[in-house]
Amino acid sequence: MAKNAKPTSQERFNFIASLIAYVIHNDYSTIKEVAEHFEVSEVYVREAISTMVNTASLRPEMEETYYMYDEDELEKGVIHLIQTDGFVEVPKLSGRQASAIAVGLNYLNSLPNFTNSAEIEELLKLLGQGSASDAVQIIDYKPGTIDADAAVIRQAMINGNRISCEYINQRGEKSTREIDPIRLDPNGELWFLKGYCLKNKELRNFRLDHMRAATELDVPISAEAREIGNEIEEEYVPSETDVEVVIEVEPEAFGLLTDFGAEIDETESKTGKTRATIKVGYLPTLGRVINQYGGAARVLAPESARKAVRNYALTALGRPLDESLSED
Amino acid sequence: MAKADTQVEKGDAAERLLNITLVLLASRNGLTKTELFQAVREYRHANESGKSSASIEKMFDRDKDMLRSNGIQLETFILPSDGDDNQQSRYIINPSEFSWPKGIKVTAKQLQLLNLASQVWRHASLSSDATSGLARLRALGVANEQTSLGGFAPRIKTSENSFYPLTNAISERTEISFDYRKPGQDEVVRRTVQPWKLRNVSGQWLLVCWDVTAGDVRNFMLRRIVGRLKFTGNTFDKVPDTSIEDAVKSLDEHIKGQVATLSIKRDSMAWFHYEIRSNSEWEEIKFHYMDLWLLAEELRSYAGDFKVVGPKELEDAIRIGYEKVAADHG
Repeated sequence: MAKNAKPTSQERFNFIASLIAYVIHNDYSTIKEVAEHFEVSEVYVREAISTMVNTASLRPEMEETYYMYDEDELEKGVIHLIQTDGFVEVPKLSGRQASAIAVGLNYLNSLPNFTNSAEIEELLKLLGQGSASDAVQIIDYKPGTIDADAAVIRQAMINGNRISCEYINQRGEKSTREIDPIRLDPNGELWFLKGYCLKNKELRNFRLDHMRAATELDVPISAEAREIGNEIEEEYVPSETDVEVVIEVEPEAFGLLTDFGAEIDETESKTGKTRATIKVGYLPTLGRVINQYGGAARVLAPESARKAVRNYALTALGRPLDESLSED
Repeated sequence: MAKADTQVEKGDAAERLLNITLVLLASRNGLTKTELFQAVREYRHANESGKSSASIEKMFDRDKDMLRSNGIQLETFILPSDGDDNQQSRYIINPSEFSWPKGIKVTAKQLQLLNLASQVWRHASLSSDATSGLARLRALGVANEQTSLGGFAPRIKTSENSFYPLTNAISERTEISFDYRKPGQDEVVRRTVQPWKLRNVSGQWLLVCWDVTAGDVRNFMLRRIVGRLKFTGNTFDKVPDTSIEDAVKSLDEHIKGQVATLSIKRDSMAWFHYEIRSNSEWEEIKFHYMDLWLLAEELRSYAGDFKVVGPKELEDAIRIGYEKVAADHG
């Protein structure tokens, strides 16, 4: 069940089927324990148990229930079944479920200093044993090269230490920095480090491919960094100075919508052409990104953003820049 | 003791699915549709309240699909005594196909890895598949002790609209068609394919498939699929793993045959990106690439940081992109 989303019937069915086997094999579990184990609410567990005992076969002319619990125990919050005439083992995973998890495992396996492959191999084998016979491995994820700095940072995080590195920012300025690493966010091929920057004294996002020569220092991370580390959850915090930019993208440039957390305004169903609004902190960065897509993404407004894109292209082509003053 | 509530709760699909599963698992000889519609409370109620049999059939078809996508297969067979009367077709769930082998346990450490593995999906539907699978694995777990795998929030990126429908088409083995735009061209070409597998190569999602039109194995890049997938209504047989492996190998061979040579400016963003360690002002690097247009795309974000030594087509592709952008924003 996705967090904060109402579970679908299929998700509920899936949960109830899992719960049945669990409470049979873990007799006298409390509702609280079960909720914690499955990371769901206690209400959700109670509803599931009620559906489970309500389910009955009406055939032949008499009713027959499959599961019954001890009511006195349940009043104390304890689950104890006194009748189990239905299935008692955990249902196998569907091909899709097994595949979605297997891809995740393979991905984790590729992350440096994270886990050993023997553990992952074992889990993949386990998934194979417990998935439906029609299961096909539908997705295959093998990441390319992982940035060398990632391993150093991961080790520093395990030790709770600060790092130093060379970093080149969006303006192309190079500096040596000290960073208290808080969270490593591998996002497909692109890795980000959320860390407390000692130079700017604030939380910053660093692109690992713009970093080099990361070294673990023999200095523990600061109290400020620890505090922030306990709080951060959200992916991107827009700043008040961000500019709202309206863009139009072809399917080839949809990656841009994900990267900027775009708000979709309109999509043409036939061509997939999509109009969206994104927030941009530094316009020259937008010039870089839009040019990357070589025509599959366009800025519609404001004019200052269009100009930043135009000038990036003109510089790249070695042509004279548009020096006109922007009206925005 | 709790008693079954005979009052029908309207439209609880979760309960209905559980009911079908339990009834069919328990029946030794399976049930005919008529018997099943009697045994499952909501079908029976629908029947008694005068719902048309067509609408009940429709509900049953939907339920079968939902069960299948949850890994539960309804098999059909006809008892020898019933001859070849299709009306007597019986439904059953094979208990040995239904559940995990006995005695399998998942340790707390393993559960944590599985938990993290199931969180890599941003896409809501994939995330739901993974989380549902995780619930079943949790049911095999004994306790929930916390060991820390913190400080990591790995995500796999799937921005393409076709991604999830393709996973469906692959697992259901249904033929599809879509409009595909080759790089550097404006018009699209309709392709009809039998989808085999999705692969991520260097950050790009590829569809490995049998191209029905071309009569050959092909790799299509998901981001170049324009508009929606269409299902042709045809299905196809399970493809041997070796065919998929061959397709993977042939792409690897193709990549090995393509080499780009660049000269990179010292201390530029590209210099950082390619992790160059050298004292020269310009350093030459060589590497293999999958797709010229994709490489051009990556390089366009490093304007001024590099020169293309070869191939010439790469330089052209980069320039054409800049010219298009300049014209679009003129």
